Amino acid sequence: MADLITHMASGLLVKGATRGRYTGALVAGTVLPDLGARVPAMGFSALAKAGVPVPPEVPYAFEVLHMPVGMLLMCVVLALLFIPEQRQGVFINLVAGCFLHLGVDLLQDHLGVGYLLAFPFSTWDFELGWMGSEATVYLAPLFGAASLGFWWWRMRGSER
Amino acid sequence: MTTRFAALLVSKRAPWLGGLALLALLGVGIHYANFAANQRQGFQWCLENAEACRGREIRLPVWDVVEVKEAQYSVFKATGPIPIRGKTTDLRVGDTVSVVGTFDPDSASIQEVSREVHRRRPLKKALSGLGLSLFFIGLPWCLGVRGRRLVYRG
Repeated sequence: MADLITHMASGLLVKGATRGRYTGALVAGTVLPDLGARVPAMGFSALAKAGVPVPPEVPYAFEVLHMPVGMLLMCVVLALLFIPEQRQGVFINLVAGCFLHLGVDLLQDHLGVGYLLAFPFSTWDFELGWMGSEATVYLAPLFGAASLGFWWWRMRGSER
Repeated sequence: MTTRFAALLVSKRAPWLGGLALLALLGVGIHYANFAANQRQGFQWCLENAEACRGREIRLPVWDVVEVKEAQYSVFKATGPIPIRGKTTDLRVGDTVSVVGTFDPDSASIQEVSREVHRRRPLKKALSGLGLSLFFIGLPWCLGVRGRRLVYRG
């Protein structure tokens, strides 16, 4: 995973470029895969490291939220929490944000151990491996500020 | 198909769709957990199939160092600790490493072939923490509640 500032900034960049509505939903979509999959896994790992007996299956179970099928299902569930007239817009933007997140993550290199893009139908894994997993950290604050500024400038007077 | 799905999202059957999606999510989660913990041919599998695994390459991307000895260290991520034999002079507990190694059944450990220490990992975690905080701070601005439903406020 790239850092979350980079993910959120990529969402703002896309919304700034397209001047589309539901910016918040798209940015939320860029956060959800890590929030749903990585945060619980890190929490359970910390517990296990501290000696709490956590079955290894438990942290792994959340990882499907970082896979395309899991992302789609998660977005369906979340979109249905909204009022009917907003569901389609929220769903499309959450999905777009999740897949943008995955697209950014695919650029990274994890020793060739890639992301399972077709699970549960296949265990084939893939990553492009074009940059290190921490390559974005020094640029992230600048990228975040520039994306926010670009989005703000493009969205003046528009619905967000 | 897109139109049909959009219609389904607002139809009376929408709660069923949500329930089905939740069930499917649970099922895929359980299926993946079983695959990752018991079927993937990683270190744990090699421990149980030692001879078949002799010399097999094992890749451990982004694991936390939890123990450092003179010529051996251990890493942990969801499972572990996994013992790795290799140089430890530049390692500390709490470091994050990516390791390529080979399984050695005699010592039930991995012989390190190459390693990368992720020195910028703490900075990445801090940035992600900041991103997560901004997300939760921004949430009340974007969301309202009408009846028992959420309303996107933009």
